[in-house]
Amino acid sequence: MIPMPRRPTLVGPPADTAGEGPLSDHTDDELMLLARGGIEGAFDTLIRRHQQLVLRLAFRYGRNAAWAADVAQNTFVEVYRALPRYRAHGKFKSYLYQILLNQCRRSRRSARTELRALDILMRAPTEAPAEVLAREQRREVEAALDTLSTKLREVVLLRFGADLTYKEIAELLEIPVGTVKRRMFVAIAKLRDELELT
Amino acid sequence: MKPGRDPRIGTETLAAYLEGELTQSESVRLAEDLRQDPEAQRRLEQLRRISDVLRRQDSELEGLDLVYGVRQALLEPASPAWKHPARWLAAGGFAAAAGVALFAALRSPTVDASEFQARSAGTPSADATRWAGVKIYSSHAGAEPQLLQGRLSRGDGLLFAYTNLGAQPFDYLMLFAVGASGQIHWFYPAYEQLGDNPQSIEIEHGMAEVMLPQVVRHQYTPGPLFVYALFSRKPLRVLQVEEWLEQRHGQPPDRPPFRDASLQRVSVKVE
Repeated sequence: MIPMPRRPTLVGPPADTAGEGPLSDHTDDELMLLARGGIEGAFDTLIRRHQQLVLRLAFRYGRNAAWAADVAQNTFVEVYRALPRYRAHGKFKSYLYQILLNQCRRSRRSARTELRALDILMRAPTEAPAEVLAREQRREVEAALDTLSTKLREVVLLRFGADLTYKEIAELLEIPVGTVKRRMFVAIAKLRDELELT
Repeated sequence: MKPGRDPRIGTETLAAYLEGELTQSESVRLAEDLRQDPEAQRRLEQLRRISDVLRRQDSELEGLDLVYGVRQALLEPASPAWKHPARWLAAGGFAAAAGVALFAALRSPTVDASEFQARSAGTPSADATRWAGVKIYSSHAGAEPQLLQGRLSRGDGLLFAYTNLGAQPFDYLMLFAVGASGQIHWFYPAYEQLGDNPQSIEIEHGMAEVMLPQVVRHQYTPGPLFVYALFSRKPLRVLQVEEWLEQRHGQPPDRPPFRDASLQRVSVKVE
């Protein structure tokens, strides 16, 4: 066929109207890519999806709510900063918790943490007796956790604190799945023994 | 059970059982053993309580939302944890524009949804295919451009916005249409001179709703018109694609000609 000369005419882009999209329907990888592409709200959605478990793991690790909040916040800041380098392989959770663990390992309490502690204290609801009991149980278990080696402790925290699968933990810690399971079963047994002693 | 004693059912085995990590036959056997071993039952219950406690949500953390704090931390100019504070501001500005564009598209009526499907010729692009596509706007007699609704007037101009996300985004894009008489109309790349053989335009990775800068007008033949977006990883030539179209003897393609490419087809009627 004979192509005809065609010259496009330049005009302005179409007018935009604001609205809302179903960002919560996207996977973690998709949200990371959308955030990198500048889609407003994508990174916020990612934070809100994971913050609860990130906070829980950090809290179990540091046994201090204010410290956990700072560590969790720094973790998301680090993830945001790494957006341009992020590679979407469907392993966002492992990636996120690897950063969180590193933050936990190197983080120390700071003056700012103390201020945040006050903030959290002011917002804490009055505890019912059942809650007091639950908190005491948790403290006992957390004290028992402190007696474990770092290797065993981190596997337990990742499994129960962050709800990661054995495969995800293995990827994150770069060890075989079998090793993760072995550490996990040994850790739980040791925790029980420790609690039995107290 | 005190530590040091050698229980018949090991606590580690109980932990594996609790975690669902025993085989079915092992689980059945263990369940039978447990019925005759109250002490092991007690240990199992202790393990269950430990995992419940560790999984429990903490009241101290209830209601905490990190979004505001993260945003603030990213804005702190002197924060050692944030070496490029302008990035968040820049991203925010861009996000507003891009977000508005995306939301506008999401709110707008879709173009013939059954046709508006990109199809992939090979599995490697499956992810990219899901996240690559174009939206088409028509511009009629100087009026504000509207999302194409399946009908087009002969002299209407067309605008295109592409999205290229996913783990393996594409690198190149071609936009063209095949009219009722089999005539091929090129939008991108522009095909203006006989003897030219321009190639696909390069597109950006990880971007949504990137508006291409021109409105392209052609004199279409009244009747059906198929508008195509061909995403690829290698640059393609106009004549290469025209040859492929001619080999189909007037049958509008619905799959890309090459592996690891994606073809989106939009059907409209020219009036």
